Amino acid sequence: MKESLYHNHFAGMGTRFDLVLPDMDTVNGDEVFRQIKAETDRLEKKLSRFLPDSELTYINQHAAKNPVKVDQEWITILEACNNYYVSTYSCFDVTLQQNFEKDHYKLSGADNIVIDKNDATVRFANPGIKIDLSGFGKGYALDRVNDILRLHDVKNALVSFGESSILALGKHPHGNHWNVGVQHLFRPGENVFVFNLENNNMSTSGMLARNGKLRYRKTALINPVNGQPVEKIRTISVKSAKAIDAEVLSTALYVSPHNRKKKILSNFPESEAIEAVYINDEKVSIFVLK
Amino acid sequence: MNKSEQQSRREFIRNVSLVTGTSVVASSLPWMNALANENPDQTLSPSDKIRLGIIGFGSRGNLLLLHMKNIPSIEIVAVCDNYPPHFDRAKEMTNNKTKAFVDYRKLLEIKDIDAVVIATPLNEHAHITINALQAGKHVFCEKSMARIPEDCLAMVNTHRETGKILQIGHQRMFNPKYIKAMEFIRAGQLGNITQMRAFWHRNNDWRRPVPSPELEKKINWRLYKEFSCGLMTELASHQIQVANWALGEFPDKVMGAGSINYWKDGREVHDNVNLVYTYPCGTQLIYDSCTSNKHYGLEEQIMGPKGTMELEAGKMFSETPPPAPGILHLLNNIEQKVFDTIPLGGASWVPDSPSKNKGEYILNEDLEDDGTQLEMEAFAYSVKNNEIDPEHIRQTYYASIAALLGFMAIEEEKVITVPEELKIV
Repeated sequence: MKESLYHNHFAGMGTRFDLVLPDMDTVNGDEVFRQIKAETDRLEKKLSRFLPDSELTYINQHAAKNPVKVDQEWITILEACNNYYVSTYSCFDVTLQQNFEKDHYKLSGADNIVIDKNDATVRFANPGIKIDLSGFGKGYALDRVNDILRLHDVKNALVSFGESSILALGKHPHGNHWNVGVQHLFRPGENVFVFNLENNNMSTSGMLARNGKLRYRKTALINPVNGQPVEKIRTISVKSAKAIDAEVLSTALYVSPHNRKKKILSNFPESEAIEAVYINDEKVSIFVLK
Repeated sequence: MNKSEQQSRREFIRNVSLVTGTSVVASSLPWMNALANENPDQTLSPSDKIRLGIIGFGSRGNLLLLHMKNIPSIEIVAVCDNYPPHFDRAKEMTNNKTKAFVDYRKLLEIKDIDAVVIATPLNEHAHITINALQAGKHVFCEKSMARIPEDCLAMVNTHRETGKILQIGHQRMFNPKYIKAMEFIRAGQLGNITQMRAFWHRNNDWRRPVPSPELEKKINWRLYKEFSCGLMTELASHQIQVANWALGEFPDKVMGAGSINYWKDGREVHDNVNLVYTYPCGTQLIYDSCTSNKHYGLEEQIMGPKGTMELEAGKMFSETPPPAPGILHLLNNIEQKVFDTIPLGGASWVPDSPSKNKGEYILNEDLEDDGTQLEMEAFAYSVKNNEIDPEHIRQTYYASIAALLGFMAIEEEKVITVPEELKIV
């Protein structure tokens, strides 16, 4: 008998989403997939700063002038962002401030986001800032995907959001867990490190390479200390029980000064992190940060 | 046909089968099986051959002859042209072995001619076709069908009354690349088609050299309204046919504008045309053609929520990015019952910008034929078996009607709806 194996994918949140369900037939798989796609579509319309009619675009346009009414989910998200700002010693910062003279953004401090829980409003204490949830959205979405999978009693699943954010439920059909590799930047298909995942998540931050060449992006990660894009060729990968922890930590540790990394991780005792530093296009050093 | 020509034809037929796949051969090119099973060494007896006459020996007639020379079951027995240089060429190209006529009616009087190929100027298609069908000949006629819609209808009616085959020269209908594309479209690879664009841009005066001034209209008939509707009947009809075929409907309305804005050389037909065709489902075809710029060339673009096809280029572009390579690796491992590491974990994948999406080829291999060889093979097969797909005449009829009504919409500066009396089933 042929084993059932469901796979489907879509484009969303500026990247691609892949769902692999080893014990699922097409009919049930399609229904799970449909719900997941609807949820990520909803989140993109809410959290994207690139869509002109997203809720975040509205907040970014108005919160500096007046408090903006938001729903409970926004309160939860922005409070979480502020908490992460504290627990990462300001290395995870969702605020951007455009520096017109230097023509790039610098981070302005998440404490500039003022949340009023009683009125359910948000406003910006500093008029020049904008919120950017690029280092938050995919992790938050993966936790919602996890909720949907559990609702459908899915025991085993591998979910990839842009290949940088992974959720692994249960185990590989022919193994005791999932082995998820951190790919070599310049040698696609080769792994520099392998995480054993079972009911947890992995997230990687760093340079994007394609066909062995680095790709730079306008929204590259920014060093919060000097406001410059991070330039050294390296990646940070984090394993956590919650996708949002992995997502936030990989971003925070990537931009953090070296002496602050251990301190940050001490606030996340269940997470594991590695740093891959590229000496050259072939040689990579792996540092276990915890 | 010598041995090596036979060999290359057999190779061609085998390639078509290989490249397009058996489903296409069975459904859209049924004669391919018969051709593939032909015994190459068998000499056809005269009674197995189709005796054929060619009427009109301009550039297209000449090209069709070259294609027909590759087909063993076709024997060219007569040629006809009323322009002396073409008349001479016709005799020469058939080694003076055929009967040659200046008046096509004389050719039609030959009792044992089974079929004729008509490649005359457009305004002569209708009466020659109708006379030929009534004389009991099967007809292959170049596109477009006729100069006015009523003549197109009369051709279809005569074809149906006489029971003789009428095939119109829309070679894309026989081009494996197009047939395969239609198969993908029917399988839903683009989703419902929501938008179509087609264009044919050239940068030349579209003139042939004229030996003496009184021959201008005879040679350059495409430029004069009495003989042709210019870009609409000579170019656009091909692409409108493709759009109709892709959508599975025929347009019921057209608006358009055109002018002579560059080649002000005494021609009567537009040197640029721009039209919008509306289909019953609400989808539009946006069509334009010009003769003073060739940068964008020639294309038919079919769009739906799931993807895009560029049919001339033979390419398909998905709106959905391909799955991650690491995920494909995982799926393969699970199927092979292998537990291995999944290579993921880079920085977030970002899609290529649309201009960098290189798309996929509809056929993996390019067949050199644009469908003309296959349409002549199909005609030979249809005549021999006295059968033709009834859809063929509907497709080609409506392509001609749409081209002609488009021309009228430009001329009359109004939206033209297809009149009920021109609709066929």
